[in-house]
Amino acid sequence: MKEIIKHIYTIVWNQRRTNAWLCIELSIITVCLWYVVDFTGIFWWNGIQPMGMNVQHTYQVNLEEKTEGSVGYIEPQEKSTTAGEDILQIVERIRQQPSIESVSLSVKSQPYISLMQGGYNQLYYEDSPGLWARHFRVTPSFFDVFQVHSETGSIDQLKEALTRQSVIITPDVVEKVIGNEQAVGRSIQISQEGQPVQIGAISVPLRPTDYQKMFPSFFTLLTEQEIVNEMSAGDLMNLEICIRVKPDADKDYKETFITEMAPHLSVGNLFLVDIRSTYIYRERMIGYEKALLVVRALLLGFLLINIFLGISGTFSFRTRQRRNELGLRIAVGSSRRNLYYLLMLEGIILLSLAVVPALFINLNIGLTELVNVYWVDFSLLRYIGGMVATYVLMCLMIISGIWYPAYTTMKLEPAEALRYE
Amino acid sequence: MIWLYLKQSFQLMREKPYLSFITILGTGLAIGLIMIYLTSHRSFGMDVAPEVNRHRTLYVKWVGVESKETGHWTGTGFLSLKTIRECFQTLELPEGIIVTSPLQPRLASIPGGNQKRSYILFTDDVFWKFHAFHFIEGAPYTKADLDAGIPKIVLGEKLAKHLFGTTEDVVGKQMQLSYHTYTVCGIVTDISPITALSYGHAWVPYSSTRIEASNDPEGITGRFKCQIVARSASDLKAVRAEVEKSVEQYNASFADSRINLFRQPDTKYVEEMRFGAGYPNMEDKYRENVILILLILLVPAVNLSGFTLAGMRDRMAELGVRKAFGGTRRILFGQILAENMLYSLIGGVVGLVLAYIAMFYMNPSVSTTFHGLDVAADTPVWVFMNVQTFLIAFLFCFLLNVLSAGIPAWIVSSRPIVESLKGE
Repeated sequence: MKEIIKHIYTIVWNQRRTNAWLCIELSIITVCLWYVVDFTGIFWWNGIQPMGMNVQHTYQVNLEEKTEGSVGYIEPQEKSTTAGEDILQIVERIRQQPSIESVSLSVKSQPYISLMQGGYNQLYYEDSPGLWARHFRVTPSFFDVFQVHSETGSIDQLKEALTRQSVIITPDVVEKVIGNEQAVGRSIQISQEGQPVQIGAISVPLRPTDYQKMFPSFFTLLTEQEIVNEMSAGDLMNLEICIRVKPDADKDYKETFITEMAPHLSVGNLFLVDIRSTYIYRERMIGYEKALLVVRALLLGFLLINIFLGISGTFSFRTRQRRNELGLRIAVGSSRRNLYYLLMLEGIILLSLAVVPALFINLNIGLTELVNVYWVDFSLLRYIGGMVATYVLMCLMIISGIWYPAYTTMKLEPAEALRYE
Repeated sequence: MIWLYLKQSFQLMREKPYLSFITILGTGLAIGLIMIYLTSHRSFGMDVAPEVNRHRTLYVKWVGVESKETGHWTGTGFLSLKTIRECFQTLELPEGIIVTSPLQPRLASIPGGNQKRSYILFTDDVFWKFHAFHFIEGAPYTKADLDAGIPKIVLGEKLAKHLFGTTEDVVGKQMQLSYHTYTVCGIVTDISPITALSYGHAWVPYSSTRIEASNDPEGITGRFKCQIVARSASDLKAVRAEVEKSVEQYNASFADSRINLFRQPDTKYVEEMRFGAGYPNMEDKYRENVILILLILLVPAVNLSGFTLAGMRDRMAELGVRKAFGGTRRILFGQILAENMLYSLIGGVVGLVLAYIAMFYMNPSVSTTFHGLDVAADTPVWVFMNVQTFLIAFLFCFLLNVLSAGIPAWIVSSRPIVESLKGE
């Protein structure tokens, strides 16, 4: 094997003028391909990581409030209940539905809510500087609806730990403000003016969408008292009623729900407008990224086909030109199979030579953060993974690109091939 | 002469079918991809029904308010009716000013009957003048309706069918929008959300419900967007200048506020790139596009020139003989170009077919939501494809082929005859 490689190396070196051009070509292509492989790769990698919430079979119930001039509007002075009480009554009526698994109320907390609409606050621990974190204000059933687990894998643990005096935080908050110590039981302060509260439990890490890095987050309790007292028409925009539907009931659920429930859900001035699957919100948040992925995948396909064509074409010429050499080899007893391996190995050695400058260029592209670092940090693992994938792809293309030209040359009779001499 | 070249090229192609196939497919792919790219970008700015006047329309949607004294921001948002009235409706050059709201979700229902969450566009009467809607029945609301705040509604076909079960004899009937009663005055054929600025399931006069809300004390920001329709596309520059003057006058009327339009009015293409208040980063967008197109061109160029060079070496002896018999560099060079022209032409046809196929499949996956609406676009992207797009893509690729073949050809044709004859 060593002998063969040395032999090939001599061949490559003797043809260095033509091979130099080929090497440059392969280098440029390796850089381009790596860039697209890296992009597509981290996109895919990010997409398969858990988001921390399960949105399957979940819906948001959209309510609206009648305004002056609308049919059935109740004047404020004639109204005996607050909007908050009306909401609680609506939630109670939804909960009694047999098809519903659980209902939750929350403020600016729903998954896939846009970044601007989400709630944020600063967290302080002892004398650490504040940490901006996503603030989920939820009723305990929120954990049921979106299946948020504690670090140890229990939903009930989170539900019990969320009280008026305690919060639930994500592991990245622990890491960033508390460090390696035991976090549960310590107190933490929400916003600069806030009272200290106890850390009740630690949940799994949470990411805002399928394609973003995890973001430090914490949960506080939304009490019925707060809903009754604070919620008015203006806050209706921020208050979310989310439901989890039993899996076997989740077929054309939207239509069923609206026809069956709409008359029962008109309470006070509130009325049911729609229920919308969380997937609609998801689509809205990641639609752009998904479209981007289609474009990049198209580009990757385009590059792969082109590289394949280029390599195949170039090697086709090379083997044509070297027919005399190959004929001579067959004449002196080389088996076709060996000749075939020789060409393949030669291609791969050329590629390996070409990869060396590409390695260097790509590392620099990565270090100067010209690649996407918004989704995943540029790490050694990402660099090596991307390069290995690129190298394998290039190898596959070289092997398949050499195959056809080599095959046609192999078919030649030695005498015919020698004639070219 | 050209015919002779083409005949020769054709002969060459038949001689080396595999390599010709590769060159043509490579060129075709590049043309196809550039066409897809250009087409999807052109779709942002091209006229398409009902927005048939995009080419002569300028768009304003965001306004920022800053304090004259401190320069601090005091608010940003959509425009108020007052701002539109004072800044834009006073303009003399444009043919018309269109006022619309952003799309508003409402519950459309008939008492005791069907209901559906729908997107409603609040507009003025001018909206109907400059948009090519197809009325199945009835007519749009008029200026008189708008001024009096009469609750009339133009329904899209689908919504009308959902509510009433039919589109016949619906005009004159009543329905409710979030429990406000409206009278149907017209039914139009549904439009695609690709035309996001006129899209809706139904359209009502903006004066029929109070939707205005300001978040600044002077009432500069509100809930409306504005489109300025010039008499012709060549007027746009003059209209911009007039807007600037009018904004200055408007600013003079405030004691301590000044409005900032963030370089608006926009053309349609820029409007598409503007997601929030503030300056859109157009330089970045253009740079991204240029890099992408270069990438699409670079890889095939490197490829093609790689094996054109190899091919040239194959034909060195032939070129030497021709030179020895008096072929000038021009003639040799011309032939190589003609050969590549043929490749580009066939590649162009291949690319066109590929682009059509790709766009057919691309449509549902790229455009499932439009600006956060939960509606799918049913208009295929290829309605935006035209001869001009093809010519641009073709020109790009011909240039690519000329460069990738021309440089090796130049090198080869300037070699001494003896060397070429030797076939080295």
